[in-house]
Amino acid sequence: MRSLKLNPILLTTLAVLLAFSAFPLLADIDEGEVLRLGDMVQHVDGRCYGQTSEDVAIEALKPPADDTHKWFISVITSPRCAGCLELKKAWATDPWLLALADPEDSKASWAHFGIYDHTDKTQTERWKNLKITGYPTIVVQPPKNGDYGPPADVVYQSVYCGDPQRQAAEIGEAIKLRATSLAAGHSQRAPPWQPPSREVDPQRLLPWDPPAERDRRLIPPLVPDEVDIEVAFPWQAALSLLAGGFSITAIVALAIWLLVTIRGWRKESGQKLLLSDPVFNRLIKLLERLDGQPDAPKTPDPKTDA
Amino acid sequence: MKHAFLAAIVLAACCAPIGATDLAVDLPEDIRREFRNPDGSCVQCSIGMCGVNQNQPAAWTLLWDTEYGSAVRGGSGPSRVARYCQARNIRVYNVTGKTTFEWMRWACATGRGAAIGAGRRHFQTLVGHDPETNTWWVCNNNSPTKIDEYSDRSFRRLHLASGQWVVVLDYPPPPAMPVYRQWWPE
Repeated sequence: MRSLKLNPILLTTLAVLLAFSAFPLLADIDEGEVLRLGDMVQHVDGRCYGQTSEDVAIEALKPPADDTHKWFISVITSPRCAGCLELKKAWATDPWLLALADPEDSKASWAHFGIYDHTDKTQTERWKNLKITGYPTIVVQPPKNGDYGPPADVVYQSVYCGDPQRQAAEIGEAIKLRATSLAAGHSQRAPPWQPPSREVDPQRLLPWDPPAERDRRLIPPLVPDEVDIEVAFPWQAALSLLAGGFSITAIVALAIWLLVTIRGWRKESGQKLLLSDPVFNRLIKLLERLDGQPDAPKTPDPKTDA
Repeated sequence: MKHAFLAAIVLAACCAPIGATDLAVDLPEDIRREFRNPDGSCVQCSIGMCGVNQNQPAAWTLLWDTEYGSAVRGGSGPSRVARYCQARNIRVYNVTGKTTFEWMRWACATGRGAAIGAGRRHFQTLVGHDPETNTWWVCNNNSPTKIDEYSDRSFRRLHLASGQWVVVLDYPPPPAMPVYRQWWPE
């Protein structure tokens, strides 16, 4: 019979396999029970364990309502502090304090409420930023949803004053002040653009005259027939005639002015015109060409002027 | 050069872990270390971390003998959790089945966190969820000093591997770590 020779590599492999197969036994949850229960929410609240009917259980499958809108009221206590015990008792019975937070009914409570023992090492980190001057200290912070600013802000911090009603009123005032200062902050913030004024101040109106006809309408362009030629008195031409003697340019400018002015008078007085508007306009253009001036009544070209 | 600098900033922002203040369960490392799983008590370790977060001594002392009760050690199922929570007067939602994802999202959104099935036959602590990116953060009681980040897909795989079961403490969430800042008018 051959003696059994133990292979060290085989032994090591077996040891590793055994170790891994034993591992799940160390970190165990009852998977079978999880599967057997199926869809279920069991609310263990110390009152109705084992009495939940199927209907209630189905309704309870949904998570509770979002409560991120609730303010936080925390009371930091010390184990040997009589005032802390007094405040705890007051908060269980006093209607003013209960209106702010109900320690026995966290769902119905207006604010999230917590009592913290300052000697509890698990909570030391949470309050490390606070300067505690006495016990019990009441700390109020805004809701988690950010409706009243950063949730980390300390909105109120005070040692209990000994009078529940006064204490509740102080907390309420602090919350109101926080809310109003946020609202004021919002209204003081300038808009990115100045909106148009809703009221018209007659005192601030600027003088206004309707623009000349040819400047007024751009689209569609005025046709020459619709344009009334307006020519101002050619002062420069008149002066040059007086000062320098005969000048074709000055004579033509005066002639144009004279023709346009006479035609204007006749139009206003309702007399018959010697020339139709198109013919008169062509005559004026001809005279202007003699003068070397550009066309006087320029019709805007929407393609280039727009 | 300018573009490279901007790209570096964008990359850093994308790769940065979630800010500590964004986590629902934001416990310091030295506290988490005390909830290392010593003997298959992963469910109690996970509930314990939630107990610290929500300031419930009856919950966070589950692993030890205290005035709140004797130590609860070893593996658990939903019925055992219900029994010891009832005995110690700990209010919990003990949820199994397909609504667990909804409950986990609610627990993180409201700042509570949850003890959850995560990995084969294992329970861990859900410490955060970002609904915008659907990223989940979990603290494993086998390596409690670090926070593990999961995409939604990998987190689903992790949770489903254990069977759908979560435990949420029915207590208010903790306030944010307070800071002094002048918000009132002068």
